[in-house]
Amino acid sequence: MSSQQPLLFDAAPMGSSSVSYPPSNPLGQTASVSGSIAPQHQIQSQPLPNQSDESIFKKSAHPTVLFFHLFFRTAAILFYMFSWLFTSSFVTTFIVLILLLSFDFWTVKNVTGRLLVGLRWWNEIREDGEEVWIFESNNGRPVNQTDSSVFWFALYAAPAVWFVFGLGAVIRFSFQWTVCVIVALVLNMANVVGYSRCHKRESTA
Amino acid sequence: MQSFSGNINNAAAPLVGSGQGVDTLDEPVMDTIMRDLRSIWEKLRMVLIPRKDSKNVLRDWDLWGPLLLCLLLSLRLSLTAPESQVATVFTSIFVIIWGGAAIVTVNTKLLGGKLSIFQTICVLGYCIFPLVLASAVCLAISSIIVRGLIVAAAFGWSVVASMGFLNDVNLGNRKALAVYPMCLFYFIIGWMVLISRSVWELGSHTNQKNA
Repeated sequence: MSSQQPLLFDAAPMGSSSVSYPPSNPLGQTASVSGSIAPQHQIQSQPLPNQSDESIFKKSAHPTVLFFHLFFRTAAILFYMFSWLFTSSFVTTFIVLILLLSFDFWTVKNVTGRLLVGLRWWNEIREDGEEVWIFESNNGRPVNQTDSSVFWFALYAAPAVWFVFGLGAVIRFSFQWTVCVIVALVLNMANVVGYSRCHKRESTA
Repeated sequence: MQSFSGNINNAAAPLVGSGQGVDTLDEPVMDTIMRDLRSIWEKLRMVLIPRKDSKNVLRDWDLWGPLLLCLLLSLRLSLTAPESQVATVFTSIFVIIWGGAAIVTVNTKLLGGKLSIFQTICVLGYCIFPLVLASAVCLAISSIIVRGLIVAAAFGWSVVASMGFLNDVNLGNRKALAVYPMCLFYFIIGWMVLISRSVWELGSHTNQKNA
């Protein structure tokens, strides 16, 4: 531990992407440090704060939002797999799944997208009746790395899981579960397509 | 179909239409929820009591209302369905409503309708509301004649409401071609409501065909 101290107190800026120390200031000034770096007294006693043993919620800039981004999708997938534990009625399962998937769609489209990665997409009808899709991105503000990776991972992983479920339902020739999976896929893929187009425009802009 | 991209923080970006301006970027979540709920309620009222300016409400389309109505109708019709058919009835109503709405929409678009796909599906979904009300009322009525009258009234109401919204200027002579599938759509849903059982018929009626 003590061998790290001379390194940490070195006034030269560090190479990490989330840190921005002005070169002439000592390490004591934490006001200019981004929110994901631990304050000075913790740096002295622990390894560098970007270690993977820290929970993603600690590294995120919006832990509540991140939680909800993951919660509804995971709940829907888990409920699909384990509904037989809770109820024997298909109707109840279907309704609960639809509600969870709708909440997930609404949350990801309206809340987590703009708060976690600064992207937004929607559809508008102009006065002349013309339909227009609008994709917006927030090029100015920096995006937390954890927020971004978890957002995109969950966005793409959920439809992949539902696709596998769909194959299972089709192989079993189960009409009702196939409809259920189709609804899940439509709701998830809508967000995937919307945000992918936002992202593409952002990186080419 | 056009699309635009831009910067969220750019105040000069043109943003016409429904409350999606730069001020919604940081609004509290509860505001977003209440705004959506109020919009759904506004459209439901518009279906029940059509007004002159109903077209403007249409520009702010959403599919939550149709989803909610679809779930309500499917739930209501599966409640009094025979035991072995509950899941089938539920899923079938769901598929009939969304599949039917999609087909009627494609038909209207192919005939040159001016409304966008989502707007048409939105209108068709919301105009199911009178039939949903009729199905709720029919829960308590076992006389087939009274049920027939109620369903017929609701069917007429749905058709008139949706024709009020979809009064496209582009259709002209081919209006009947667009109206017929729509009437068929509501007729099928009305028929399912008509043949559903009421709560009084639940216990005593055994399904002899399945014995």
